[in-house]
Amino acid sequence: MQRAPSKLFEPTQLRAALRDSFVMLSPRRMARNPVMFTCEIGAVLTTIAIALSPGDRLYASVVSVVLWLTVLFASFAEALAEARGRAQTKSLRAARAKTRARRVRDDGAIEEIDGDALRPGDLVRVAAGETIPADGEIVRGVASIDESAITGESAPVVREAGGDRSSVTGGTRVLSDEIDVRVTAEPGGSFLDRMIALVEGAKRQKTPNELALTILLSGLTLAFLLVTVCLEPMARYFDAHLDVPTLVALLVCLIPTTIGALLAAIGIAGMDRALAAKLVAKSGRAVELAGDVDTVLLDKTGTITKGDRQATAFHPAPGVPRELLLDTVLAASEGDDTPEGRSIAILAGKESDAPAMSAGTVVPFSARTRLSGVDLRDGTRLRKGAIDAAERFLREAGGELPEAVRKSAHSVAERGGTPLVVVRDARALGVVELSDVLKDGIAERFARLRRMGLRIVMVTGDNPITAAFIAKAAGVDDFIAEATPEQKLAYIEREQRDGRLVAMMGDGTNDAPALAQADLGVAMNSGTQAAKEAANMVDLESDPTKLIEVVEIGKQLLMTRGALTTFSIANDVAKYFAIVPALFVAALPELAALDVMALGSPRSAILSALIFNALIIPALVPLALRGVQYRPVGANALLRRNLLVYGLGGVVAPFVGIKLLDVLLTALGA
Amino acid sequence: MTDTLLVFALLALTAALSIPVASLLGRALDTTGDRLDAVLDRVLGPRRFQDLRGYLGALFAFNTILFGVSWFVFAFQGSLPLNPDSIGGMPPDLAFHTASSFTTNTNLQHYSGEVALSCLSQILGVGWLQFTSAASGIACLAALARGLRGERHDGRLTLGDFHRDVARVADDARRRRGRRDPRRQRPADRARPRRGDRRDQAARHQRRRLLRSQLDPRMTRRPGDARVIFAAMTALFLLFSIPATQLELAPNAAVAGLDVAAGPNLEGKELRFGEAVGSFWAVATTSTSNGSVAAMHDSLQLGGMFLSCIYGGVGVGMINMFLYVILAVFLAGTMVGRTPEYLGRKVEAREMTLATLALLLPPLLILGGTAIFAATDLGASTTSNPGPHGFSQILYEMSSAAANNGSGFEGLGDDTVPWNVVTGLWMILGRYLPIVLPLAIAWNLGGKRLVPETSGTLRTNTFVFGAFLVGSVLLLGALLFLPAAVLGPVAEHLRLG
Repeated sequence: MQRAPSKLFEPTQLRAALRDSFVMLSPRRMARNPVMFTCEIGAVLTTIAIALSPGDRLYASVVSVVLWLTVLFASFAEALAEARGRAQTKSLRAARAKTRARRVRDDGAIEEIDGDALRPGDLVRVAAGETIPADGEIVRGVASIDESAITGESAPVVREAGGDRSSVTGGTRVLSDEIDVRVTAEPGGSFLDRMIALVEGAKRQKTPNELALTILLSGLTLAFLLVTVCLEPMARYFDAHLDVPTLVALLVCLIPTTIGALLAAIGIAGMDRALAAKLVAKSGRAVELAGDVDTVLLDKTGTITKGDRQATAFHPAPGVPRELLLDTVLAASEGDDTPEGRSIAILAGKESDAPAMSAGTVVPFSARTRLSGVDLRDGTRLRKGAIDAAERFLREAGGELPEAVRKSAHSVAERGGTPLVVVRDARALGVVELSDVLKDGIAERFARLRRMGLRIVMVTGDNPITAAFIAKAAGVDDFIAEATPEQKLAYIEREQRDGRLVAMMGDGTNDAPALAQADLGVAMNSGTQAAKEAANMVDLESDPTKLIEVVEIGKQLLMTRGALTTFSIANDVAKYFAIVPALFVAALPELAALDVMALGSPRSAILSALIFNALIIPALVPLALRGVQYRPVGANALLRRNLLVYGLGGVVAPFVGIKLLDVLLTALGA
Repeated sequence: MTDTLLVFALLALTAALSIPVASLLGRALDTTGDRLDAVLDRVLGPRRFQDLRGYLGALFAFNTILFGVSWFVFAFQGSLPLNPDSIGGMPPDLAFHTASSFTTNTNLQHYSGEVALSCLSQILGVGWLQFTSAASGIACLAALARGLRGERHDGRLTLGDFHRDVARVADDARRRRGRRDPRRQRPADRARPRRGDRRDQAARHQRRRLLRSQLDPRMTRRPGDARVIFAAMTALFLLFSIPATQLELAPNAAVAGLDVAAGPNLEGKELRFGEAVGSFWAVATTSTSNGSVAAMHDSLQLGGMFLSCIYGGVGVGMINMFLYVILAVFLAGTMVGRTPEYLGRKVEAREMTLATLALLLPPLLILGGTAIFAATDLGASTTSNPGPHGFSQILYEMSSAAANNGSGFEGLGDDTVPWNVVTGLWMILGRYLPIVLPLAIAWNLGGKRLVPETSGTLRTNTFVFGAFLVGSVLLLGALLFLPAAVLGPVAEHLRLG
């Protein structure tokens, strides 16, 4: 799968969308969208009116053509959004192509069957070079797997039975070794199937907010239908006659066709954007919900801090030369391949040259001594470790831990760091300070989140003191220290009791309850099947900072919807000023004064408004597909900005557009 | 000049007065355990905690009684006591119209008070209803506020006790207001700053939201929200009144070229108040659902009561405004990237269905009614003027009934069976549906979990939201009623101008 097409209009997609937009004209399909359905009925009526009307056939024909174009543009917008989605799922569908599976029968015998015939609970054997036939859980073996079909990541990943990395996805390929997989998905109900169905719109259901908006739009359509229908008898009072094409033109100009036409496309585009960010939403609702999230639970390790603790300072004991401490610690860290050990070597290496002391026997870290180090050839023992372990070592060697070193170690701990005491035989030389290093730019990202109104909660296994220190440095609002899965769950429940919507990311099986409890649970694709089942989104890239993008995509979706609705309704003002005087100017000549745009003729006024109404739909398709840009500036500033652009702009733009069209039409002799 | 100053002084004074008055009424409605409460305990029995259905049921039962009694009195006043002038009973259709007019607090009159009502009718059919119908409206507003606050008793949502609310409002009104007698609907008597009452009313409604809540400290005080809505109403009010006043201050086009042409347009004005106050009053009365007049509306060209939410009628004005607030919240809410919420509660499909239905009602009644009456002899033969002016008469009468306004555009021969029946029905529909639907919305909202405010939440107490609210009211009003208005008042203005 590739990233979202960088170009908005790929020729192949355009062709497909054009073809589909005619198919979508079928009334059954149209009826799902009340606004455009009304428009389509209007188009049918005017088409009939061409034949029946004794008057100006040309005018009726033009109105009818413009109306059909309006409906077609609406279908085109939706079809294009779907085509873009399909382009993104193309490679996915290739992976879904028929596979053969080797099923392990209860008696241990192996039979070859069709991949589609697999049922949850079946056991299949997959060897190197074969494609995994269905979603499942590895029950035996270890294998490296190529998941590029789904994630786009070409580096193979390792999956093994047991633990948190046991789930495999149908359509991915085993590169080495052999595994037994317990199938967990129904045929057609696999992860891939659901993903494809959602993106392609086949199973698209209206999200709650979309539904509420559709109700409002239908209400407005009904209200304007009333306005138009009542106008005809009212006109009779003035002995004015209004013909069907003109009335339909007025109706279609008034009903919110712009948003009606683009609503479906906006929703699909939101899913597309999520998929482009390598996020698979299990429903459209999940994307919409993301915009509402109030609290985000983020894991400390890997999200807020770089994976491991690193050495950041050395504190020599009183009377110990700094060089001695550095040399000792360099020597003691030789052969220590842990990230901490390497970071000590790197930091010490900056100040000190190659180890002055000749290497001896490496003493690896053991659970019993909780120390690691080196025995030099001359018998000198170099050790580093936690303060209590070091103290015991010193005492056994006949030494003692100096008070100054103890103090220095404590102050490191208070700062949120981990102190390692460096010991040379019976003498404590000083303390190495290990601390968490924040990821680059994480504080700025959190500031951005906070401006969006989000509460950020850090989840960590550290003790409360360390956690508090890192929380402060990163700028999070709260933290859960020494976190257990139960604590996470309890925290989520507490936030929800206060009415907050909680989002969290997780991968392990023990995250599953919290993922299910959270309003928005995002599971990492590398995680277990249980976690993926419990979540309502899956992050294919398994990037722990993805939650931030999720929220922005959700907000963008809602904003686009609101902005285009406002724009659509605001457009009506200018259309009124174009059409209403034109309707009655024959019966009430004084109404010409309302024609503020000084339009050429009543006919051209009505046609200009109608054509503008149609053309604005394709003109806004790029905006609907890309989405209104979200800026984390707080709700008030956002509202002010969007009102200015889409509200005021929506009032002004059609005045300009209609006038231009009118000039053009008049020049053409309409 | 002095006239204009007078107008602004009036406005400023009423606005200033509205706040203490509102807080008084607000407190009165949620007071428990005082002497009145003890009296009510004895009369009504123990306090009830009604749910939506219970509260509305009590409202309908009470209003049905009001309607029944007044209809009976109007129809049979000829044979009832207290009839010194031996006035005959009203025809059934006129009695229906009059009864629904006063039950719905519309006060639209298709008869002449002096010659068509007996003393008993004045007392029982009119005077009594002036208090009780208005009190029903205010009670419902109190219920709306309780719904929005999510008030609970024993863990169950409640809107309060309808009868107790009515009694408290009526008691408050009795002590403060004194007599209101629509019979004396002559301009001279009506120029007492009655609109002050109306505006107080509106402000009182705001006050409802400031009421103390035992439930959630976050919901306790919303003065900012109240201020924004009050300011929005005032802005809309000024938007309508300033142009109207300006138009009337200009010389009358009909007398151009005559000696009197130099002065302002005095045609149809009460001379003691002049054109500025007269037209200001006209806007005040049409937008506040007041119904009293200080100038003959026959000579004015305005129609600003389609919306009936600018201050609005007693109690129901704010309820109407609440619908627009919900709409504005829905649009503005999505524009800040969240699913919309109001006062901490999510506005979803259910609420939008109810709000949309309520929104459809005014165009249905006003435009539908006008279309039928204008196109047929039902209405066309009853107008006193041809062309746009006659059309305006029909449009105005329909709007006045549907919006429960009660003022009339003089010259319409409206005491006919179709006019009586249709406007009578319109008043009832225009009264109760805009109470039932918003109350149902508030009830739904009240049952939802409260979402805490963050910097990403749409604030409804800001200037921007107020401006958006004003814009939405204007836009929606304009879109729905502009074509009709263009045919009537606007065309006439242009024709004369």
